[in-house]
Amino acid sequence: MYTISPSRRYFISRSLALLACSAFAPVLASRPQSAFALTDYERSIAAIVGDSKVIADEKSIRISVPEIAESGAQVRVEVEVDLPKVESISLLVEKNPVPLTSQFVISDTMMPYVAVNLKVRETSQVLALVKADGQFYSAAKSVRVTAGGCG
Amino acid sequence: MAGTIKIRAKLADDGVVVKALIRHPMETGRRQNAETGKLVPAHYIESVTANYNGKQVFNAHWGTGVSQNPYVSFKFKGGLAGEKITLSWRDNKGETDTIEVVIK
Repeated sequence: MYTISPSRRYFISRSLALLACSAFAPVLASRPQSAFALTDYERSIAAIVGDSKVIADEKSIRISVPEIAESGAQVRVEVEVDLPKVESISLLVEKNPVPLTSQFVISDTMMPYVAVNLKVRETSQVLALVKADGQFYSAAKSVRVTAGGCG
Repeated sequence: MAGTIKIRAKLADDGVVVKALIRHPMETGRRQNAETGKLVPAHYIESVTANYNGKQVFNAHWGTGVSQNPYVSFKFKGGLAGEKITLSWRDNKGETDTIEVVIK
C-alpha cells in the first residue's frame, strides 16, 4: 500500500505553507481588499502588518492634520516620511466604521509624501502606517471633530 | 466618465508636485436615502494611478474613508517641465476617467 512517510508529509505541508506565503506576498502591491472591509481598528492594522512589530517613529514620519475639524467630511491629512526605501504608506482613522482609508504604494521614482482628504466620523486618532525596507513604522495624530463626517 | 479630474503638476526643487481634485460621490454604502430610507449603494474610487514617461509615479488604493470629491497630492522625482503625466482612477463599479497634464 502506498503511504506517505512522516518526513514526506512534513515536506508537503511545508511546501504548501510556502506556496500560501508566496501567494500572499504581493498583497502590498495589489489592493488589500480584505483590509478595506474590516471594521475593527486593531484587526485592520494586523491585516496590513501581519506578525511584524510596528515601531513608533514620530520623528521620521511627519503627519499633519488639523487639530480641530469643523466638519469631519473633509479632513486634510498630509504625511511625509524621512526613512530609506519606503514601500507603502497606509492611513487609518481609528473611530471610522472602516478604519483603513487608503494605502499608497511607493516605489523608487516616487517621493514618500502624500496629502489626501479623509472622512473622520468623530474625534479620533489618524494613524500613518509606513513600510520601509521591510519594516513597519507608525505615527499618529489626533483630530477633534465638532460635526460628523459620515465616514 | 469624462471631465471629473482637475489637475496641476508643477516642477519644484525636489521633484514634481501633483495636486488633483476628482469629482466622485465616494458613497460608503452605509448612507440612507432620506426619502426612500434605503441604503445608497457603495460607490467609491478603488484605485488612482499616475504615469510619466511610461513609469508609474503614483499608485493608490482607496476605500470608502476617502472624502467625497477627493483631493490628493503626491510628489515624484525626475520629471521635466513641458512633459506630460497622465492620471487615472477606477471605481468599484468599473467606471474610470483619465487626464493628461503638462508639467509646468
